[in-house]
Amino acid sequence: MPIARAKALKFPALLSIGIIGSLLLLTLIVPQLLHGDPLALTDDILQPPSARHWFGTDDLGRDVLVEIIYGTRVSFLIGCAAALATAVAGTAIGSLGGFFGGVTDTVVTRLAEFFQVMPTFILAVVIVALAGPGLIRVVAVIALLSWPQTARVVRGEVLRLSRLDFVDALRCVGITEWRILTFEIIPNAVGPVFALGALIVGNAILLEASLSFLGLSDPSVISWGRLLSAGQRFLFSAWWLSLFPGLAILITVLAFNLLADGLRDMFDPRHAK
Amino acid sequence: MTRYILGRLFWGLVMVLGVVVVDFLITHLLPGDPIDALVGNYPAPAAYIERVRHDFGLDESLAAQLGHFLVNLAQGNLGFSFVNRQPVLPLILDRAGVTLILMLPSLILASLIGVALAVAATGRNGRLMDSVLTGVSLTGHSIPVFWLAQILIVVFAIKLQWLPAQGMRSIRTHDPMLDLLRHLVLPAFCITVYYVAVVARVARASMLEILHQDFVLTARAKGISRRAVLWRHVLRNAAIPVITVVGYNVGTSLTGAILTETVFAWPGLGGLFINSIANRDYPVLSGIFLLASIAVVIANIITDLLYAVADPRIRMTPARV
Amino acid sequence: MENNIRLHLSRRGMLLLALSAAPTALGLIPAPARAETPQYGGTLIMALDTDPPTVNPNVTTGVPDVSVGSLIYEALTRIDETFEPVPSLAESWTVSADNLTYTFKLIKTNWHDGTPFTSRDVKFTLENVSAKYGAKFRAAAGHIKQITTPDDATVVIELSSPFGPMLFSLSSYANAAILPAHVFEGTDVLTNPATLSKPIGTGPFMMKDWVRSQTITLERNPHYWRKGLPYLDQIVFRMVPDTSARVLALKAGEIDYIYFYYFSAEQYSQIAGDPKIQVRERGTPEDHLVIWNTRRAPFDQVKVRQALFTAIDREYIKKAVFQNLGSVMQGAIDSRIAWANDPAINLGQMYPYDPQNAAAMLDEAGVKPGADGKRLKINLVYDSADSSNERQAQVLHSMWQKIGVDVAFNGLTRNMMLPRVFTDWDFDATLQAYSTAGDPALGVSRLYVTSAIRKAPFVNASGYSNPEVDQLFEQGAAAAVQAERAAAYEQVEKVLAADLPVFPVWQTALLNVASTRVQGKWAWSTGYDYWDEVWMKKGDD
Repeated sequence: MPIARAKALKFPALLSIGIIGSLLLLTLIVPQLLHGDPLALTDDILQPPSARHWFGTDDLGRDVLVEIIYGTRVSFLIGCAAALATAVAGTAIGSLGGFFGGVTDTVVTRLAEFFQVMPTFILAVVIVALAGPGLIRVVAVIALLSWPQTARVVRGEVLRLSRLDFVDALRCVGITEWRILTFEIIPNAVGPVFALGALIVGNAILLEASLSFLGLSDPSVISWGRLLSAGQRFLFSAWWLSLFPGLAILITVLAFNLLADGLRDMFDPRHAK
Repeated sequence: MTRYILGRLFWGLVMVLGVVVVDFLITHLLPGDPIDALVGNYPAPAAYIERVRHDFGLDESLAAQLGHFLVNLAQGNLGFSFVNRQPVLPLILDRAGVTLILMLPSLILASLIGVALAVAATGRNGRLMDSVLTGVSLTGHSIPVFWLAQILIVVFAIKLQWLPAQGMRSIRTHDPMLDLLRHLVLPAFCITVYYVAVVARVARASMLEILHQDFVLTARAKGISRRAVLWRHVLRNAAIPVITVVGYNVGTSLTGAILTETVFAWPGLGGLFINSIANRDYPVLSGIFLLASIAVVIANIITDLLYAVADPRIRMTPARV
Repeated sequence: MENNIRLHLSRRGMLLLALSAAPTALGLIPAPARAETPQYGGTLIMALDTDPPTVNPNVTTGVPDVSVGSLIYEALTRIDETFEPVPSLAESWTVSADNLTYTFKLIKTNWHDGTPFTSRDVKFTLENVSAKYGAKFRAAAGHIKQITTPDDATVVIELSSPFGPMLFSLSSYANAAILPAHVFEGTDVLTNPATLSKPIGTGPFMMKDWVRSQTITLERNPHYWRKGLPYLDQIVFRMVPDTSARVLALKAGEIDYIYFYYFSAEQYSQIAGDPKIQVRERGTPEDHLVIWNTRRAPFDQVKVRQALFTAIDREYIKKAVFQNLGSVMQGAIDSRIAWANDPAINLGQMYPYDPQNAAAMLDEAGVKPGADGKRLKINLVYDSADSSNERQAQVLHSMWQKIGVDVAFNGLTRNMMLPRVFTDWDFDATLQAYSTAGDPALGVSRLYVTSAIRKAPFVNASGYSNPEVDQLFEQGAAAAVQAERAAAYEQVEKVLAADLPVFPVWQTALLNVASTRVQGKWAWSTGYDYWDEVWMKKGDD
């Protein structure tokens, strides 16, 4: 049964990589094929889907499909930047706690617990609402709210690894603690971080969409969340403005979650047995 | 045991205090002025503005405001809402009650469905159910909840006109209970979808893990039926992670439904929160943060206690981070 | 009754002109095929966004406060559909030849608690409440020398200098609803229960019940002084914070009425063609504007502002951003205040949309493209809560791009936008909606006159200062005769059309939407209606 499961999980993970890859490819290729300003305003306002505009047009006469393709960049960018920031912060903090123990560990643990008690979504809304939306701010908020999960996992792994014999062996050879941590332990401990990272990309895309839905998005760039919040006003008359960006989010986040599943099975020894 | 609980309570208190102070500083340091919400959108006489500013203590220094806030808090006084012109505590509790009317049935339903799905997936003919579970759970995690809410409204409220789209009660109604239930269906569905995903995933993972542990294999070897093992041993042990997840979500659920409440205009804490941000109603924001963090702390402690009930092997050592 | 309704309809022609261009205009005209006999009874449910902080229409300009308060408290005058003052608590009045003395004869009625209403209440309210706390009454208060009460039924207001919109300023819309002196005297007005939640008025409806964050229920005042009125048994205000939620509730029949404050033109498509919904365009005219920071180069140059104006196609903005409703604004004064607006001044004709010409004008002004083809970047600030702002910003960006002008979007929450624009003056241009307050002296002059360059919201943010304009606005406010006032305002429009410190963009479509059950005189005034002559059709519930 375990073997069969491993196979069954592999396909969805590969599929998800395929989906993510083709979306990325689309964002790279399509803008090259379009000439002029594909997001220029036109008089074709709120046209339903047709052969000319597959996903219809929005209130300013722009093609929704083109907008979604352009939005892919920002949504991916936010997702990946947030995941990267989270991974770096979480790994750094978590490994410090796990490796040095003592007071450091207590501080790290308590800090993580503090963030767990903190009502995260409402904090995100407060910060972005009061400080104003900006891509970097949104990324920072997402990272600020997601690092404890990564830190906990890394801390556990580091704790486990640092008790292994080879660490003591290295100490005997005279290698400094910092070198052991950065070159020996962390590289071995970050496996699960990849799985979490894929998960956070998905969550970040969702969170950006949620903030946008509440009107907290950066107006100078197109993201899927902003398309959705713009389409919300036309829910009755132009369902295509809401349906397609929502589907784009659903499919992409689904792909990242599948990928996270696959990665976790790869790195988590208990699932891989 | 008592000492353990007291310790947890103490740390919880410290956490809550930390959250409240951090929130107080964040809301007050970021730009914006509550005065505009108080006197309307038209240039008001300066003396009037000064007067209102003074009435609500907005002319004091930040440190003084924080000091007042904490002193009042210690006396159980959460302050007075600028915008709603009523004390914060009853205002928040009132709204929290409305939110719970939505959240509790959804969470209970989600827990039942989630565990049932997990049991079915680990049962004898579990392959198909397992795929169903994985599909449901992944979709639930990936779907933007406000988008789902919009689609539900378009389909069930606008096109089919089966269910009301907004609010908690109709004004013209003959059967208040039925009316409430009808209003509950769509928002509760949205919330349930998400929590089914959460619960089913955790329940399945922990049950699979336990199914392969020695004592289960022993039980099977002793000839106890698979069904009996599943229900009596596996489920009981798998309950712990499920309790953790549900417990944590009960804590966060007070504010967790902001988006759903917004789309369905459910008159709970979510709407109050959004409105308070727009109007810079600091006392209400502080109150909501306080309530939310207290709920999480209490839910965590109760979860820990339930651990002990579900699994006597667990001693009262705070192993979790 | 029948004649009455017809009369109002024909007078509304002016307002409906704006809509006649829209193919859907027919759907907008409230056309009672035949006037029906009003029916008594019934409950009308009206949407608000949130609980009003107060129910006192004099201490705030907040929409929910005044919406509720003006059904309970009444003022000396009401504003009719042509923005003319008509009698209310003052059944008649005379104005002295020098326009300095107003003598009001009051009606006889009782407060909701049974105490008689007298001239003392009027004097107390105007002096102690409206003058101190009423933002909209402020201008009028500055002209009042003294208020005397020769007897219980007479009030004499003496002015220090003539004030054109005096009678207008004595309406509940302008923070001048009369409050009961016996309840407020010797108390703190702001915290008096009659301000906060237990109002005692003279109006057609009385406070019955308030379930916070859900409903406010008003019931019929059985002793109302207008005989036989009101028709309705109850008016319920229901809190529905979300914009689209309100429309859904209206479509579902859960509410009967949405004031234009809570209904944006963007939502029109949601109700167009719904046979159960009717729309009336009515309210105090409001205008969408682009205000320039004339303190900053190069926006201090008239030529640059003219060029930027030439580069925008306001017809497209109306079509794409505002669903083709409302109308393009062609002068500094809203065309709906017809007596003060000069239709001969037409910005569309003065500056036809022409990007090439606009670019040439910028060249002339010395604002030339840099190496990257960009001439300048405009820091555009707006309130992000109003979704039309963001879309308008995008349209402007796209149009200005054609002449090498970039836009930095600064969509801020209202609480951040206000200090940025009105206190710190930290913007190049800002998108704003200004209410005309029904009279140029009340709502328009604050945008342009030097004395309104103050660090306060919704005054002269552009820093534009022109002695000629100051003087003309002063004349307009002080002149005794309407025609004299009009002459001054028409002259002002001419100067402002050349200077363009503010771009008039769009005259808001003020759409009040109601279930077809709602009958009678609804949506006929400034936007805070007098609901005594509204009735509900029974049967198709």
